[in-house]
Order: sequence, then C-alpha cells, then structure tokens
Amino acid sequence: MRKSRYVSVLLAGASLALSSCAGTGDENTTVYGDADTCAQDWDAQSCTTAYRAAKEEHVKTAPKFTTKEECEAAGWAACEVAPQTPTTAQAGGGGMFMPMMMGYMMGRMMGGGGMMGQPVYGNRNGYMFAAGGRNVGQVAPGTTSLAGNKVAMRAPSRGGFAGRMGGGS
Amino acid sequence: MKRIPLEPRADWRARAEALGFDWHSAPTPEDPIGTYWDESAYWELTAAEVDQLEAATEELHGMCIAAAGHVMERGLLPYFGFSPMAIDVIKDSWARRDDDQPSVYGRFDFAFGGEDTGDGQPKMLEYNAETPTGLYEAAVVQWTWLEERFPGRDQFNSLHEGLVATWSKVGDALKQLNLPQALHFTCMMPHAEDEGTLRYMLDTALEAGLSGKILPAADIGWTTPVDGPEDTLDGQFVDAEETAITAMFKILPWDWMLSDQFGAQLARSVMTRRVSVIEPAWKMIPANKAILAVLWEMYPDHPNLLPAFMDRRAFGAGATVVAKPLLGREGANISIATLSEEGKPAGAPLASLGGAYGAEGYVYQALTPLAESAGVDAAGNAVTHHAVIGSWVIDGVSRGIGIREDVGLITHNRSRFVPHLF
Repeated sequence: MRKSRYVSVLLAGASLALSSCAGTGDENTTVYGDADTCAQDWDAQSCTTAYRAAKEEHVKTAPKFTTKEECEAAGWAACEVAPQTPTTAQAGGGGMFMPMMMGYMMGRMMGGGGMMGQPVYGNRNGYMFAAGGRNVGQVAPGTTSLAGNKVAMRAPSRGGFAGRMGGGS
Repeated sequence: MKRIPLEPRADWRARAEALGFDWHSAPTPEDPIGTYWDESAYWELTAAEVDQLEAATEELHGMCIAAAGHVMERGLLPYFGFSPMAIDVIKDSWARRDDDQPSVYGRFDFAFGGEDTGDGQPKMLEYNAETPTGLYEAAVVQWTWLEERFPGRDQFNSLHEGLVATWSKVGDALKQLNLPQALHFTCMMPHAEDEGTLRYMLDTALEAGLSGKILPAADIGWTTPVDGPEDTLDGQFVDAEETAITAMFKILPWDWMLSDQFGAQLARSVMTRRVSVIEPAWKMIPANKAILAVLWEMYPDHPNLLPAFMDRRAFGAGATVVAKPLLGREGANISIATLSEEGKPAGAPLASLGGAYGAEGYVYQALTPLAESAGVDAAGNAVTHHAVIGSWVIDGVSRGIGIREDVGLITHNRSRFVPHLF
C-alpha cells in the first residue's frame, strides 16, 4: 500500500495548545538583576521583599537535574547546586542542580496594589523565562547574570508583516 | 494514466466541510459555481507510473540541492532577482543547512501523462520548495474520497504519516537549538486556502507532540529592550499575548517578508539564531524559477528536465517557450509564445496570465505536453482538461501526489483539484 494507514481530520475545530500565559495582565514586567537595581524604580523595602520571595520560589520551583551537565545540556545559561531541602534530601540528595536565577520580575499587579517577585532564568540563546515558560525578555546570548542591570521591553509594534495578501503556491 | 468520469457523491460539499475543507469552491461573478475540489472524474495511474513519479521526485530533489550548492559556489544569487538582504539571509541559512535549518516540505509540479504523453517521462515544471499549498486536499481530502468510493484501491499518498514523522524531527531540532518545542504558524488572513493548509500543519505538529498556535501575520509584534535604542534590530518577535516567537512556520514567501516593514528585524533574528523559520531561507534558491536554467546547465538532457535558459535567444526560431517570472506564484505572469528569428515572441501568445510579477526577470522553458483528456465543463461545454501532477517531498522523501486540472494550458490558483488512485 502507498497510502496512509490513517489520517487525522481535526481541522473543523483546530485546538490551540501553546503554553502561554495569555492575559497575565502585568502592567510592567521589568526584570531586575538585584534588589539595589530594583530600588532605582521602586521603594527599597518592596524590592528586598520581592527578591526574597523570588529566591524562595526559585529553590522550590526551578527545574532540577541530577548532574550539572544535564542541566547545561537542557540549554540553561548557567547552573548551580540546589540547596538541600527535606524534599531534595529525600530524593537521594546531595547532587541536585538547577539553573541559576538570573534576576527577578517586579511589578504592580493589574487592578491591585500587590507587588510580586518571580524568579527569571536565562537560556543560552539569551531568552529569559519566568515560571511556566513565559518569555519575559531578551539579553545578549551567553549572559548568565543581570547583577546591576535591569531589562524591560517596549510595548510591541505590530503590522510589520502585512504588506501583501496570499502567499501560498 | 487515464481520466475517468464519475458521478460525484451527492453530499460531497457537506462531506468536504465536515473535514474542515472550507475552500472546496471559489465562486466568482464570472464562474458562480467556482469548482475547486472536482470529483466529477478521477485519474487512474498504473503502479509503474507511480514508481516513475516517486523516483523522479527524489532524484530531482537531490539535483535541486546540488544546484543550490552550485549557485552558492559560483555566486549566482544576484541573477535570481533577490534583494541584498535576501542574499545575506540565504547565505547564512545555506551555510547552516545541515545544522539547524529544519525543513518540512516542498512540491514539484510535473508534466506527466504516462507513455502516451511526450516521451513518457515526468518533466519538472517547477519546484514549489517554499510555500506550497494543496497539501490538505492531497493528504486528507482525496484520501477520504478513496476510502468511501474505492476502499480496495491504493493511492500514492503517505503524506500524513510523513508530516507527523517530520514534525517529530523538527521538535528534536528545536531542542538541540535550546528553543521551546513550540511553534507559531502564520499566514496572511483572511485567506481560506492558506489558513486551511496552516491548520493542517498545526494538526500534524500537535500529533507529533509539539505545541503550536496560529496567528495572522499582521498580528506579529516586535519588541525591544526599553534601555536600548528604539530602532535596534536586537529585539524579539512576539504574538498577541506577548509570548516570544522562537520558531515559526509560515505560508508567506521569504522575499515578501524581507521586503516588508519588519524585514530587517527578521533577517537579524534568524541570523542570530533568535528565531527558527520553516521553511528555512535557503529554500528560496530551489523555489526560484532561475533554478530551471541552472539545472539544465548542470544536467543537460536529463530525462526529467526541460530545456531552460535565462535568455530566450538560446532557443532556435520557431521554438515554443514558456516565460516564467523568477519569483512568480500560482501561474501569474506566465506566457507561452513561439519565437521569431530574433528570438522574440512571434505574434500573440498562445496563452498568458496577468499578475504582479516580472520586474525581477524571467526564465524561459521549453513547452511540453501535459496529460490531456477531452471532457465537458460544469456548464456542459466540450473542453480539454490539462493535468499537472503536484508531487510532494516531505523531509526529502517522495510521499505522494495531488493532481490539478485546468481547461487552459497554465495551471493557476483556481485550477481544480482532481483525486487519483492506482
């Protein structure tokens, strides 16, 4: 037989499954390398609180790897030893690695006054990701630390690929 | 190869629509029926003819890659009508083609009608190596037609399986590149046919375990760091939710995108590995009609090639040649004429189509007979149907065909899709 054994015909209700955090509604998603840099834009106390929250979150939720090589092979710009916690100790402990926290996100939540602090990781291509894989910015490929720095992105401009209709052939 | 009339299924429209095939007809004021999917006939091939098409497709794909290499070595890209920016992007993509330039598909168009047509060999008319459509019709719609009408028969069509397997390899390639295994699928919207092809590509990618999302090309955003200059090319493409676009499948020609407002940003982003684009930029070389002249020079008298030259005076007086714009699509600006002593068209063209191409230059190819069959059109008039075989290459492998028919000599975007079996 030269024909397919089956075909899938899902077109009628094509489902979209990209892992995106649509509509998180952050007013500002500046990534800060440390609390001092954050304090240039926000009050120092909030910056320190958010930094600590991000560090705690980082230890809890960063992806873990058995070896440093595995962590680096996954594409992270830099990896470090994960601190011993009851959970990691139980898991056989001692040799857990995780990507280094490159910086943290700080901003005012839409519709409320609460501040947030979320760890941010960089991969070798220079993309920065928050928990859940959401892309939050871009730095030079190979950057491992944002210490003394901050990165904020401009609101996107759109319509730059709208010149001509059609294109299939 | 025989064309066999058949009464269409009474409910074929409803069945087509149930498959999500909402571009089965394209009515216009001149043609209010606007048949595109045409099951009032089918083409029956022999197993030997299928083998012939398969072998020609794989051999030509290899020859086109060799020809692209020849073009790069000899610095022939300026003759292809590309902009300097396109040439930079092509060079970069070609140099990395074995490393990080995943490619999914392409479609050869063949003149072929079996032993009764010409010398009986499939003749390459062109290679739609970059933005081919007609894929869902070939992979799914004609497959379901066969299952219902001729469940015991075979069809040259393992496109679906080929696509799923190829997307799985693309997923591995993205992993190697440290990019998320998530793709954005884009085309100009609204456009029923391109959007349908895009949905099918998304479906097959999802089946392969990738994640994906469709967005109109006009919604693609560009964002740059606040602390850098506003006009920097070091930024990122984002979708409507501001998720980064790190890998993109597009049914939009590279040369259009690069000449658009975000062209320089796209060029920089692909060359700095910030975004991976399928089809990769080097596919612009075999997709360009100038490749026909390069192939003929490299492989003169190859049984699957037709004489083709950048200068039509290379043909003798009295030759009938087809003028094809280098970057043309869907038959636009193609004309067929017999040449005079001076190598110019003698009299009115035998056939021609209008369009917006041609300023970039033309290639000239010898006219060759297409598979023909006498029949009647939807209004009952006696006509001659001309068939062109679209032969698919999925990840370098010949995976099946889709047949387009027209009463005219030039196949265009409204030419009918007719199913086949063997």
